[in-house]
Amino acid sequence: MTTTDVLERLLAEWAAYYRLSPEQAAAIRSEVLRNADPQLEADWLWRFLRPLTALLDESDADYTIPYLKLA
Amino acid sequence: MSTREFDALYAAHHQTLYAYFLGRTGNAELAQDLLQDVFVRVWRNMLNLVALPAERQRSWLFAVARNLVIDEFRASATRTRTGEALASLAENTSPSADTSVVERDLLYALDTAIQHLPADLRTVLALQVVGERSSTEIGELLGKPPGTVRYQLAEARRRLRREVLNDDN
Repeated sequence: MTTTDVLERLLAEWAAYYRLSPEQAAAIRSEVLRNADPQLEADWLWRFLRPLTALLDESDADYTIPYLKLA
Repeated sequence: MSTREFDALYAAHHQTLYAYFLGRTGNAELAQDLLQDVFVRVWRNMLNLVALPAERQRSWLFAVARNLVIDEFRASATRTRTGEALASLAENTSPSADTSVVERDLLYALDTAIQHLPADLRTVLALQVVGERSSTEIGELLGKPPGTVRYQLAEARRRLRREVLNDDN
């Protein structure tokens, strides 16, 4: 066996040790999503619903809630 | 937000990005932290990212990754975090049950030798053996000609053979 062969075998074992396991990858993914900023989700929802809210903007309907009218 | 697009990006790129960070920093734990940082940014930019073609998504990811490494090096200028490096292998594991003592010593020697490679060589090597990327793919990721990547891979192996196996050829 040549030194090239030995090195390749060692490198394969080294890589197998350091490669992210499915469990490690899943844990990192979960951590990312756990720390996601809820405000961003609100922004996304707002943009998603924007075609509908734009219709309301253009109508003459009064959507002010009653207690604000009283004030 | 649906995580479907996020998961697709994560599945496609997490191992390569991790290998890149491992190569650049020489520290597996730090590489995982930086991987998490990249995907926090992915999540925050999903609306823009999903509109991009795959090639530009990858370019965006690696631009973020490069900047995170630069930021980390700046922040760690007064720390010795990268110096801890890959030696965790020797501390934390017996590589596999049937690995002989001689083989294990060689593996530890390899770990140390990789740790002492210049970062450029360590990065292309990590992308190849941990990230399982080809020379052409590594060249695209790092903005280098494939020939340069192949030269660096050969040089990394030449140094490792010399250090670990006392082979000067």
